[in-house]
Amino acid sequence: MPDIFQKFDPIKQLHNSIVELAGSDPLGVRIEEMQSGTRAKIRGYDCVLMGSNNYLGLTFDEDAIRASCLAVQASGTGTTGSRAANGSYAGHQDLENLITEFYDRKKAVLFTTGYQANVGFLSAIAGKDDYILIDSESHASIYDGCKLSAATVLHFRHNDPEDLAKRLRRLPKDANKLVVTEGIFSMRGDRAPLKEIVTAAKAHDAYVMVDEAHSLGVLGEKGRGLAEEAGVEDQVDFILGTFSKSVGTIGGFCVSNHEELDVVRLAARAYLFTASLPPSVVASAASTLSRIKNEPALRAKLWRNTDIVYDGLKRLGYDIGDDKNPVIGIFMPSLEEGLRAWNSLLEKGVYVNLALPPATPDGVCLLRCSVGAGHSEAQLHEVLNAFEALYDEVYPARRIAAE
Amino acid sequence: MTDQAEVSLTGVVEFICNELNNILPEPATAPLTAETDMTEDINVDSLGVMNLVFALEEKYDIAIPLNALSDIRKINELAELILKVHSER
Repeated sequence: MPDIFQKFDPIKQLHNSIVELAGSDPLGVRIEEMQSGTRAKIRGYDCVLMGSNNYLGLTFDEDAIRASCLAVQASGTGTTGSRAANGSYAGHQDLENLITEFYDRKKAVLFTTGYQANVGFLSAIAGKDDYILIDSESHASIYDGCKLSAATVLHFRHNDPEDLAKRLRRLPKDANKLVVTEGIFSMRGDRAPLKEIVTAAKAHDAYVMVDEAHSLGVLGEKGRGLAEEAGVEDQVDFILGTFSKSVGTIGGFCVSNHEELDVVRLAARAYLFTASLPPSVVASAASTLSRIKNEPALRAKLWRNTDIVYDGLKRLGYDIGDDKNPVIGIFMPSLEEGLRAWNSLLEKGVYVNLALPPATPDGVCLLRCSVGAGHSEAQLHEVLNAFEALYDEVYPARRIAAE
Repeated sequence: MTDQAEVSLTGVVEFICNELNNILPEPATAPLTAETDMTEDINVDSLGVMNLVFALEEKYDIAIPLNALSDIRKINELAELILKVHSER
């Protein structure tokens, strides 16, 4: 009998070599105990969570927990059905209305995860004769949605509006074109040059979609994301978002001013063929989304904390990008140093995400930090102290050069 | 940027082999040829494919649809796709 798992040999070998180098499996981290939204016990260490995407610190929001408990008692633990069958409760529709109000747009469609929102929307919206142009560093869910679509898919160089324009010029004038980018890219932590991208897209009559997964609640005066911050909301046709970051739970959505958006419910397989969000999740998302809308102070705190961490890491000499955001990707000199640093941080009580190629840009190893409004100043100084103590381990050559 | 007249299958194969030699983190165990299977023989990852596509697009002034790449395994299959896309410009 042939071995159906044999094809995974290269990926297994790579994983084994990472485990060997790290002395443990960085991809199999078990959170033993969540102590708060910013602290957890991992491998026996009390850690500050610096890699949780919990930008507004709302996972333990008291109102959301209360709403969630009431919903589970009133409506049960799950819907056991898709939105197109028995899974559309009043709560799902109310949440869609809340999303349209939040974005001041006409239509919203709820998905069960952010991943499914991208996969479902992209695979449905672009047909055989259409074109999708995506940023080359797009999230896997965007790539996967494109893979499932019948459209011709092209990529443009990361954050390069001129390259996008060059590609748009080659396409048939009358064809439908959809340009896809992200508010904040999850690895480097950089924003898209959205104004320029929108200008290039609109010059060629292309639609624009922005995935605001990491920018919802983070950017813009009202927390709507990069489209708001860049002042181009009226030219961005579709916003995709997730509840699994700032909103503090799970779920995804597409929101638009397009009158026909509802037809996606009849065409997106990721909407049709999966169970809808459980009532407890719908209730907590509605609760925290309202808080994001009504409490801009949360966002102000997030940015104060971002200043502390970003400026602190820069001052210490770490290699980070120039665009200051709550997602901070620290470039490691090599995989070995990255693994060692990640382990060492854990032992010092700091959990960050370890991001490895091919999920990272340019094949680099990144330590990915995400700052949250829930972090106390003392916690952030704890984190910076750990990074200070780590510096010579990460960049031994710099110390020698300095001496 | 290259004129249509200059593009030949052997030329594209040669360009792909050179690019892959730069992209691969470690040198391939056997010299790359038109028959090299990019997945099986040299295990090019998605990032490598992306960089290869950008290099080909730049060199031949074309746009390669990502969905046309899914069935391609060998270097000569990719070269044939490049010729096809180039001729349709």
